[in-house]
Amino acid sequence: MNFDLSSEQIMLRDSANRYVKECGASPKSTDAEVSLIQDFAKLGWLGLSLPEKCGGVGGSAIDVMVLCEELGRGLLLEPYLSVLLAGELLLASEVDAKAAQGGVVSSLLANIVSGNTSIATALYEADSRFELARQSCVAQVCEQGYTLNGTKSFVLNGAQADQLLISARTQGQFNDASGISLFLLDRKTPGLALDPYYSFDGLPMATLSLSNVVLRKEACLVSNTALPIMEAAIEKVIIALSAQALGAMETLLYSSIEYCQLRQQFGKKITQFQAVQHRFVDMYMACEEVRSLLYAAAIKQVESAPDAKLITAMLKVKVGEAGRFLGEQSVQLHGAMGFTEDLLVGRLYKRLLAIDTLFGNADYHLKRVIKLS
Amino acid sequence: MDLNFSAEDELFRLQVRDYFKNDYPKDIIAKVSAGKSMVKADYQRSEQALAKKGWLAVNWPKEHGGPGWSVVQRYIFDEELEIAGALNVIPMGLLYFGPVLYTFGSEAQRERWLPGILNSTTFWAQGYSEPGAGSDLASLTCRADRQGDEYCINGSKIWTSYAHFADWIFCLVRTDPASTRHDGISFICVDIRSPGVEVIPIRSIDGEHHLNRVEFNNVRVPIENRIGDEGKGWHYAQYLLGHERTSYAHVGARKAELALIKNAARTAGVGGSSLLKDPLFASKLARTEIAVKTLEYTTLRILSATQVGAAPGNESSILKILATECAQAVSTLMLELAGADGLTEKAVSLPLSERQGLSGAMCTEKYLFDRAQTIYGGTTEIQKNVIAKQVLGLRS
Repeated sequence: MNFDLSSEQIMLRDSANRYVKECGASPKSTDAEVSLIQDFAKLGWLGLSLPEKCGGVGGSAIDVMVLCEELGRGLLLEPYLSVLLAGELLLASEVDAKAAQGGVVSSLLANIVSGNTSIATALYEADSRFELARQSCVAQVCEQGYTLNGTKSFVLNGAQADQLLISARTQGQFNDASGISLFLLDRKTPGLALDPYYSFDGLPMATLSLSNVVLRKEACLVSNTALPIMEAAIEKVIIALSAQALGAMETLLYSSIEYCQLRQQFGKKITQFQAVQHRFVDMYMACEEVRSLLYAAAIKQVESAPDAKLITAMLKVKVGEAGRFLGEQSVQLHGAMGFTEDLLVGRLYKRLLAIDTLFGNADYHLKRVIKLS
Repeated sequence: MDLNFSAEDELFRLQVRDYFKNDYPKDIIAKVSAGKSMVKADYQRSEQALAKKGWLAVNWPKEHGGPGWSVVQRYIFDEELEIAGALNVIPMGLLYFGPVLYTFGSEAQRERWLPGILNSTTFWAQGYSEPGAGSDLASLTCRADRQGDEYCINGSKIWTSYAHFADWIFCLVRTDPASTRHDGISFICVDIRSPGVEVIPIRSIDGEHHLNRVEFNNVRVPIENRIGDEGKGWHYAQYLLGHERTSYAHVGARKAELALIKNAARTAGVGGSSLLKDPLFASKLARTEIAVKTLEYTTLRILSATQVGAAPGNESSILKILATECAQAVSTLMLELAGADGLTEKAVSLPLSERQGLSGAMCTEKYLFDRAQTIYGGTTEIQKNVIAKQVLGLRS
């Protein structure tokens, strides 16, 4: 039983920390995204959790956690989450011999790792809330292969990606667990329309409309059994996302302390007031609580422990609530300054709000905790 | 990183589990489980059973009669003891005074007092708080005036747990009347049956008698009952505080209580239906389970840091708050589980499920008792002051 990082993990943490400090928090621009992808590829981070045969490093959920905590600390609006999610889905699809498609998937993975191909994943729909089984986008068998119709929403990096992974229903009713398939398509495929926007925390997102999009048979990577694959991939992404949240939470805590040390009222630093101090202690405790569950969830995933899903769901509840708490407290501690748009505090706060919502908010995962425990 | 205990530690866990299943007094486990009030003889029998096995002074090193366990073994032992439903030891002699005695006491003092603690024939009470000195302990005014080879003690100590069981009381008293705050305080042991000592019971809101007020009226104590140097008592009392942080955790107790709650909840709903299906109860239960897991992994993080001999990291400072608030969350859930059964008097209160276990009155009593958790051993507010200063570097 130990919670120490290995020497490789410490090196990864330190180099990520240095890189993030040099970058500064990234501005809201797609140009910055592109250059970050190239940096990430060079540093070997895009393939951190992917196997060596496709150019990856073969790292574990713990390695991903170590990297993402540092990325979150610097509020890098980076493409890594999209790569991680797509990578997990592609890897799982490759296990299925039929889907290996004569090396298509492994060469795509290699191109993702090297930063030559960007990829986005479209799983959720406007009314699916957080339920992955709710898939009303339909793929019907046709002469050439499949015809896809429907709309996918909240697609991270959707408009920037060269390739898209899309879930669609090939069988059953709109909320059946089975009958969901995964498709790979090029962004230039006729019938595919992209409607880009920025999420409130500044991440590029898009709505995808599919109107009689015709795909070849080989474009179907997973046929009818995609739901458990999607769920398993999201379990991994939750660790990464939670680690980012923890990094952001600690930046909020320590930058708020720094600000309050400078702020004087009634002839005192406001950090001298007990009401302010106790608020900081509550924030510090929330960070430590997240760290405890984060480490446990990451280790459980690596060990494939029977309660890995339960602890991961618990983590997402804690991260959602603690992240929002840290953001709210930081705005309060900054006073009216915290309410202005130009402060880093507000951006970190919004990032944490978005993290709560991504892949199921605290209430959604609390229901999963009830089901799983 | 890994969460597995070593093979040796897992083997040790099995031995401990086996002991509590087969060799520990079964009637005491039954009495704890039925929620009966425990008397001194119960504690003594439980502690003497553990002493016979050499497992009583679990935090003591071998040279002083402890088992010399690692921090991980101690954690496993505590967890198994609580999951088995055995009686926790009274901590005053074993956890608090013993380490002060073997660290700062003279050879003669060790020979005089350690054996009685080790075989549970002598019970100790802790005389720290006073009516006017609670969180601000350093403002204590109970005084010990030097008169030849004796001290003459006058003053009051309060919230003294188990003083009614005790043979001795270790006290922080002011030996320098001109002093204020931390200097001029000495650490003195008093035979509780000395003339001039009066132990007055205080009933707490759970209806039980745990607490007392102890009055000292011209109590004469030989100077050889002082531990260490005169005026250094504050230092001795503080010295070991930081080393016993994980003893607050009680992860095993929380797990055992959650299991009891879940078991009882299966038939505690309307008409014998399952309360687990009630979304509001289920949501509170899930939140409490998250709190217990958070406590467990935070405790393990601290153990992981201390098992290699390193000083506990900053995470250890939050443990007192985390552990006591977690205990309160669990017993609040018990109160809600009990529903109207929580109104009943202890003597007539029935188990909430067919199996022996929680009764409504036990739930109410536990909930009320647990209010003390965030007050004793340094209130939550004091803990937060300490974290603000020591961990976050904030000055007042």
